[in-house]
Amino acid sequence: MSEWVLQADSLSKRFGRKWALRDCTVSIPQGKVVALVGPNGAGKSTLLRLAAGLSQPTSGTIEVLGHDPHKSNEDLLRRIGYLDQERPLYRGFRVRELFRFGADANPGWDMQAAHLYVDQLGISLNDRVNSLSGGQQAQVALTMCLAKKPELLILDEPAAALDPVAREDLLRLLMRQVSDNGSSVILSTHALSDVESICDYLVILSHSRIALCDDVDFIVESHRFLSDPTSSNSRLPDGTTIMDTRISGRGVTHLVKMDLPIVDDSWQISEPTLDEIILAYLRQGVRNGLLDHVETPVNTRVLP
Amino acid sequence: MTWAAWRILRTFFLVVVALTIVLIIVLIVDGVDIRSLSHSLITGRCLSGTYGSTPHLVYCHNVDTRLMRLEGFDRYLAGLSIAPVILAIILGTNLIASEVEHKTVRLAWTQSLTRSKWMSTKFTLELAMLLIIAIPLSFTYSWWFEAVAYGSRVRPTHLFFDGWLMVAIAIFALVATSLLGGVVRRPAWTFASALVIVLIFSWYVQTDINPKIVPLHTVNIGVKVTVRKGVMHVINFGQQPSNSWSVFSGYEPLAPGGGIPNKGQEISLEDDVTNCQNLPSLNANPNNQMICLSKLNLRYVAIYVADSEYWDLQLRDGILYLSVAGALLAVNFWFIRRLRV
Repeated sequence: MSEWVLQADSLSKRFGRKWALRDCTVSIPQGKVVALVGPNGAGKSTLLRLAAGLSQPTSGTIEVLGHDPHKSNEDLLRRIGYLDQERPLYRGFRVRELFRFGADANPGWDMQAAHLYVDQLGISLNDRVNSLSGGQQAQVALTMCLAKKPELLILDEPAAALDPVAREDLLRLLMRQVSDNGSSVILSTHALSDVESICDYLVILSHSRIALCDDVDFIVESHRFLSDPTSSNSRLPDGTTIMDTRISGRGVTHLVKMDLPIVDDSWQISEPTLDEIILAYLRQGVRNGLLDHVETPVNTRVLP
Repeated sequence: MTWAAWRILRTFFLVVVALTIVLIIVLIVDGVDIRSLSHSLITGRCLSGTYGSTPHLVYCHNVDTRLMRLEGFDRYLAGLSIAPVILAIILGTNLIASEVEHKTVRLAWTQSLTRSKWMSTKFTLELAMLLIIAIPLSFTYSWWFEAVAYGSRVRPTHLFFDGWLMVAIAIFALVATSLLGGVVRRPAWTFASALVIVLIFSWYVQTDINPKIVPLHTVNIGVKVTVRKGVMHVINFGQQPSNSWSVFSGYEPLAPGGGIPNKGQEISLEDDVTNCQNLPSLNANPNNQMICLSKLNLRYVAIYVADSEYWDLQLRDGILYLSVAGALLAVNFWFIRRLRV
């Protein structure tokens, strides 16, 4: 059994002339709740669709739970649950009928759990899908994934466009699944608060490339703010890479990635929040256009 | 999955079944009516033209009027014989294009069943639905055509699609549409393009394939002109039977088994034919044209498919449509495994 739920090597996907993903190499370990973060058009949905076997890579390889997802392997399909960004459901079906479809199509379907989930959310089994609100449809779509009892949940913006209460319900439902079944989860999101509250692994995608991929705790531990209130030209400690810079008056604050512990008293050192780190990477992706330059050594970077 | 596929089409299918039953009843009532009226008009006393008493005259006139009125209505009914093909195209559109457009294919293809299994389940169900409707409808139409066509399905200008051929064309349309749906990905465009392609393919089979898959019959056609006591007598010889389908009429080289001349041959013969038609000696002896043509080894012929070949042709056409459908189905299974959604 593979220790990775997802492994991609030089994975690229092109639509016409536009690259949706380029040279993505990433390995996601089992048992994690992984947040896939990036601006619109960064390639998050493309990566998730490739993982769900709905699309084929232009080049490179992807393995999910040790299998090539595009080979339409029944065993693999049984082990993954995929929630599409657009939450496609048969609109003319009643909720009960959708669940019947789920039970017919999935040997491991847990009808009792499916009934319980929607009951808790106040959705009747006799409701037609097209009469449900957007949030309720998202809940039903997530229930379709959860009731399969998959080892890996691939969720494309599961909480998008939900009101705070529905969002809270959905995340609670998700976390219960993780704790009850030990499922791994890969979810794309724009909500940084979700990343902090439920995720323990982070992948940042920007401009079709992987900008950062690591354990959340390690990411926080390996980044620091370095401030010098008196000068903006101070030499940075060895083993650091600037990810973001703020200049205020005569002083400067860098967010740096550390390869080595910092032992330099000339800088004021503080710990950034996860949000601040994510925003720094996303901003840098926007500035640089291409993330080849994200980890450019400090000496060669010209900052504004 | 079978249940879900059925659930998606349930309402549509039940409505179509109801409409089909209505159409079948109308065809039977109309066919019986036409048969009875035709019998009265052709084999009854109305045939002689001397209607006898006034009430009888009125009766025959009424029969004639009703028959004419029904013939107008029958044109619409005959047009509805395309219904199985339209139904097949609608079902074919639902198979892939509709699911791709509504993105439900992403839901279906991430359940625990392969795309091939999904496709075979949906296709089998839609094929069953099509057959349930197309078989009784096609055979009712066959019976009805026989009633309204007075026994002959073969006309000089066209053939009726009939019997199991209608079912075979519908199956071909179902498979072709489902494949197109994966390419076009929009139901309305899939429907329109499939309709055009099925019509073009049927036309191609009718005009280009059919004359090559059944034995053709050839009859020499000509006129012989004799002048007796200053009076010109024109004798026509050779005629294509009225219950045959004409595939060619024109000049061809007088070689045994010459067959239908191709376009190039037809053009090369045109000059010779024109020369013979413009002979200065034609005024003196009109038969000189025929003599001129026979000297050039040319003859005027009608090549046709005889009525006796009709069912053989339908059988071979049906096999052709099913073979193409089988090949397209294999392509379809290959294609959906590679379809990006």
